[in-house]
Amino acid sequence: MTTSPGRKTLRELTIEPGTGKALELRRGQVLRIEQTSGRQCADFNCFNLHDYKEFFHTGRTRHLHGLHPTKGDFLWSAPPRERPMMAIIEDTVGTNDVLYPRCSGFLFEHHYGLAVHTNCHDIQAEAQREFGLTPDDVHDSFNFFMHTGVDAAGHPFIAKNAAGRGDYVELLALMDVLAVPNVCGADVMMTSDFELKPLKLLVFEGTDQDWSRVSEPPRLRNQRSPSDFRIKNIKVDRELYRDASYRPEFTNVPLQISELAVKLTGKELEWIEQLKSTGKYGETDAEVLRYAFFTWWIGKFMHGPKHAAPT
Amino acid sequence: MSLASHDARLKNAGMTTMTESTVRLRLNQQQLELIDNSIEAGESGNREELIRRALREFAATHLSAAANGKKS
Repeated sequence: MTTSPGRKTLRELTIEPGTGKALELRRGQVLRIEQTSGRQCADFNCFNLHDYKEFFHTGRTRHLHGLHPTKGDFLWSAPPRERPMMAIIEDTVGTNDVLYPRCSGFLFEHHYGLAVHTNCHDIQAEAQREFGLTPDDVHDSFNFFMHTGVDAAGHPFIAKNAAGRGDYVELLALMDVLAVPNVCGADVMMTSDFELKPLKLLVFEGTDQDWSRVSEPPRLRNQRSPSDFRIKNIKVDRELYRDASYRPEFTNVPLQISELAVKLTGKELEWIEQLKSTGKYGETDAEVLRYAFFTWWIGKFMHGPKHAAPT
Repeated sequence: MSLASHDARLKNAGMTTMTESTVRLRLNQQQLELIDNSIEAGESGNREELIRRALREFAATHLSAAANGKKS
């Protein structure tokens, strides 16, 4: 069975409204999430198949790729792992969201007065239950085909779904994962144009061409694993109680402050005075000089998205 | 407008030139590590030189933009 040139199809199924499916994907396999009739949001989560404590993290993904990740971007795991778990190798629409949290039972009860209603948290939980995970293990979703934005006042909004029949996204597994797509349960929101539709799922064996679409991700010392943890085992009871033998071991503490004397010429002091007069960079010469140095350094040398304001 | 012409404009406007002085930055060991790494990478000869380079380039961008009436 082959439905994509050069690729072997391993699995093909349809998930109906109100449902989702947990799928084991091995490194190198590709998951396609495809519209059957269009305008349907797909919530998605994934876990390291061999350690469920490593899971997709909207926060790191949003930080590295912005609010609308698309083709060429990665789905990152949470700190302290922070590894690319899957790569988006195709996206025929380009309207994805990692800003909104998953919809939940609480949300429909609170906003709409509907106490029993399809929602992405419960759908994810039910699909994940097949692999022994609990509702507490559900994490915020990658919302594929969810068309969103942020207005001038900084408030997020949901726009009309732009996905058409046959549109799809493809995710290449960069590690063995449990991938959990679901049909978003929000039928009384704009998310899926007020109608829930099935989604088609296909799993392919990835090809060299698929791998060629993935850029080399960073490999750093701080992408940690449980072997780096001081407590290596997963806590198995719910109660929290103090470890009497605990001694704090915070990184680089105590922080040692020292003075760095910088002799400035009259001209350089004039620049500082001018910068200070704008009121934007600090109140003292030292504050302005420190601001100038670090924002200069960020602009010139920092990797990844710049966090300093464009002043 | 270049930083030099910006300075010349200030001079023509009758602003006095300030004399040499020392500014003391309070930095922790992590911040100094970043500075030292930049020096090791060949960006400057020493800490003071690197800070002054940053100020020069920062001022060139921000004061020129301000002098040209751009939002800075």
